[in-house]
Amino acid sequence: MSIITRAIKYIFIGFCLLWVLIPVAWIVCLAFKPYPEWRVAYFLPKDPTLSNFVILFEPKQIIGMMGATAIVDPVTRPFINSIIVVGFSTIIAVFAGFFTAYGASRYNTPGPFSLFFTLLTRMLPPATFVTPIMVYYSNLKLLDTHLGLILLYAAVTVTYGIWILKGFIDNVPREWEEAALLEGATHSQVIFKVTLPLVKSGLVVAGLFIFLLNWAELLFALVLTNVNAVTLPVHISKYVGAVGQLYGPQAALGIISSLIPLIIGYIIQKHLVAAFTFGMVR
Amino acid sequence: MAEVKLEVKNLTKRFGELVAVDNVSFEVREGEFFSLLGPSGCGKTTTLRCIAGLEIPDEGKIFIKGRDVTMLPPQQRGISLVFQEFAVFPHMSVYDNLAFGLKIRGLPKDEIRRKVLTIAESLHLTDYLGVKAGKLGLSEQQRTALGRSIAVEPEVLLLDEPLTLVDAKVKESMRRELRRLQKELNITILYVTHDQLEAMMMSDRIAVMNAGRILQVGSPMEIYENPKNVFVAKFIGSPTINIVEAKLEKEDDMLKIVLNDVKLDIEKKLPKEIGEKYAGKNILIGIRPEDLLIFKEKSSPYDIKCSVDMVELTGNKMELHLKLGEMSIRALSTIRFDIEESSEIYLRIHPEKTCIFDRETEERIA
Amino acid sequence: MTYLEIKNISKKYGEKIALKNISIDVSRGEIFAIAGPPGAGKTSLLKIIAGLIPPDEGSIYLEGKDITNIPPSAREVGMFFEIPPVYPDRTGFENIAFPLRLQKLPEDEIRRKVYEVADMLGIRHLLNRTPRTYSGGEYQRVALARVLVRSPKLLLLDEPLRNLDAKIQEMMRSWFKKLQRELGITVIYATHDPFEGMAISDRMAVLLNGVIKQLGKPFEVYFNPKTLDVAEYVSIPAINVFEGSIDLTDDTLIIKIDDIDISKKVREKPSFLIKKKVLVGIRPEDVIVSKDPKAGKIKGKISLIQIFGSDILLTIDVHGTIIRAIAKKGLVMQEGEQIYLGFNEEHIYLFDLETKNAIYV
Repeated sequence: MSIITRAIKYIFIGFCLLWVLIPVAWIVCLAFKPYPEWRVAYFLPKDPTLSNFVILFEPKQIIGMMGATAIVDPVTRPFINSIIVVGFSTIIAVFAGFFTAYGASRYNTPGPFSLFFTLLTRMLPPATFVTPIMVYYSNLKLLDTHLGLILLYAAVTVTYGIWILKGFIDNVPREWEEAALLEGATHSQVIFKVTLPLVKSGLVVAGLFIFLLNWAELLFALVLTNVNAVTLPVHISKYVGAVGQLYGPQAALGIISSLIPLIIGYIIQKHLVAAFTFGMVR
Repeated sequence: MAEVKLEVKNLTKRFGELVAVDNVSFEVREGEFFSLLGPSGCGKTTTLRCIAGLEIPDEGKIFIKGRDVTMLPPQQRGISLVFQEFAVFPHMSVYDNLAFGLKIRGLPKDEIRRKVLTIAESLHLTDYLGVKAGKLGLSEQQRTALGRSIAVEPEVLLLDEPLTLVDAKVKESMRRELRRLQKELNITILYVTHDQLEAMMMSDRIAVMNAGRILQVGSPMEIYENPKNVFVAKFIGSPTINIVEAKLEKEDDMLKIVLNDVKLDIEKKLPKEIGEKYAGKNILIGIRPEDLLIFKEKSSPYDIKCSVDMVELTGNKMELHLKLGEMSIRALSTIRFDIEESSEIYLRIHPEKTCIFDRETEERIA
Repeated sequence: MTYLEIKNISKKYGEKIALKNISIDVSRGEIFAIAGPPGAGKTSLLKIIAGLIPPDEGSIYLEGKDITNIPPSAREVGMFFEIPPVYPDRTGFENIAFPLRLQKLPEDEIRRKVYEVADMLGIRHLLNRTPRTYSGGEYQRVALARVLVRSPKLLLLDEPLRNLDAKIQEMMRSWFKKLQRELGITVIYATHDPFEGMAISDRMAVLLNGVIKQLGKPFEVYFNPKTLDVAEYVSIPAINVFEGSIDLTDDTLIIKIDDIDISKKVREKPSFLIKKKVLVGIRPEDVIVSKDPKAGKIKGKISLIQIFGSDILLTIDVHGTIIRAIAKKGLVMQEGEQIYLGFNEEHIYLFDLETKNAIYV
């Protein structure tokens, strides 16, 4: 490879990296800039402050453009709501996904029960069924509840759980389950004591993937929540648009809401590596 | 003298702490069937992958037909690689499979046709040319995969343990077929295997490897009859060679090996200086099971008494597991009914057929 | 009393017949081999004996008791699969202890049993390590320990040596046979390699396309094949098969293959054979090769010389027909050279052209 080709490759890669990283860097810096510096053209704040973060935790009135006002609550409630809703729905989606994937992997299910149809939930744009769901929830008194969101998130993302876990389950040799039967295990013991532990990495990967999807989910949360079950993305949306002047706190909010997925990802990286090496059979 | 198609010089490849390939050098001539033989993990596959361009070595160089290809990507090296899984394109016909590489190279249609038909005939695939490869039996699929690799006329054809997953009967016929084909088309082959029977059967020359190093290179007969050390002696030959410890004694100015009260005359075998150096010391003797003679009764002073531990029938031969005191010895004999488990027999070793190794270094001394 | 009796087992997968009317009697402490090419039905048969697959027909008796409908965990049968379960992220000890933990045995008993089996197989040193550090042979032994720790009445092995290096296979085969002798456990051993089956077993069955074609001691199966496909299956290198016809003169049978005559002495004159077309099978090891024109009547050209273990395998072209022969090392030959062939008439096999059954003379 000539020097020129190599130079072009590196320049291109560098450009892509900058394209992705510059906005992130900007937001991180912006979060620590005091009010006077919100609209400046340089990166690093000259007078770094934590005030943007502090503001997030106080209830306040925000005056937007053309005199519109909005009352924004502290970020603590939405933050906790997000953790609860996304946490539980992820766990449900992963385990429902596991059992469905197990059935799909070990048994032949043709026709209307085939695996293909689990994809249907993902083929329709969510906007098409948000209104019917709203009506159902209204009747079922699930509007603005944690349970309502948990069930919906789980139902929508279980598809990913199924698809990710099926690959992992396929990799566990069927003979190992048969051997366990001979070793005295019942069918349910086989699933829980043999297969499940062996796809630990898969559970982690599916869990992280589903978690990230749900963590950033806006549409359903916006429509189906009001006060009690407001999630972080909804909360963030209140800072945008009419109240677009509060750049500092918005940036701080962005950082806070990215924090959880980052931490989780860091903790489980060992499992992610294991998942991608599939070191199962010798 | 045939030209050198492949030259590997001081090849070294490390994975972290592990030295997978340690200063490996060898060359393969045109039309030669050359095997890298060794146990799993000895570095033979890594060496092959460096030659194929799938790994970049840490040190050393690789030359194909005189050209330095060490840093080139696989497509530019003039090699073809066949894996264990014998990959074919299942949705394409056999013809298209064979023509694949040629089409990519942009050869004219009639030339492609000519080459494909020639190869199909050598591989007995002419009747299958129109069939979708996915519908073929295993044997035909393997031949198609092989044909696809040969069609592009590589300088060197690399094969990575291609027969490992195949069952015993098919293995035997494929070993004959592959060798016949290789000779007929004068293909230069570098073959990796852990099965010494396979390497011996097909190769012109073999390089025995262990722990990243080449221990010996030679023709099958050379390696079989003149192993350089205990490892090579044990690795080649089935059943495995017997290695026993014995004492080299000087008696009445004659050098003898003492094995369980039996003295073997090896004066002729050992050069005087070596005999002097090892007199009175313990050495290792290697004797192949097929070179041991079995008798029901002692008929010469050289016969050693053993008990029969176990008998295994392998085709028209019997493998005898014998016990000589604490030592286990294997012998290969024709089928006889007078030998049963737990009986006693007498072994005769011909001194000329033994290999003698230094006990510490395990290198061959005679 | 027969220890294990398999009676008329049949199994179909949709239209495909996997096993047809399989009947085998196994004695206590015997190693019984089931040899057959891939797809013959060996794994299906073993799984039926283990109880993992139900048969369509037939029954199985273990120590006189009908176990056909008993679930696998209650049969006291151990099975060693081709890819044996050895969980990669647990220690050797935990792997071997797994079946005992399922039974909820007390911890000290589990410990005792695991150590007992580990000592028996010589793998104490592997108990604290995880399988990622094991060599091929060690992996198999830990897997075997896991099966033996429950002291099964019957041990089923499905191609246990398949994934091992050739050299290690050799070693493990002998090791296993010795172990079996010591333990006295009854074993059914499935393999695709006829020689492995012959070497390891007391008796063996040749399973081809779901049917047992022959059952008996390895020696019998090898030297008295009942059908052509059995003869072809158990011969490595492949047996030479020709079409021929028969002539009789006094006490000699003359087998004519193309323009070659082979004579074989017979005790009685089987008159039904005269002029009959037959298939003739001759193993390469029974083809006698010599450079001396007087030694053999058949002249051929050596097209390929290959080293085969301690012998030499020759592929010889006789007027377009390929004959394989085994010669001893020491005979100096070159490819392209003329060579003369004779046959060891004791081991010439005759088969009926239609039925492919052996004809005895």
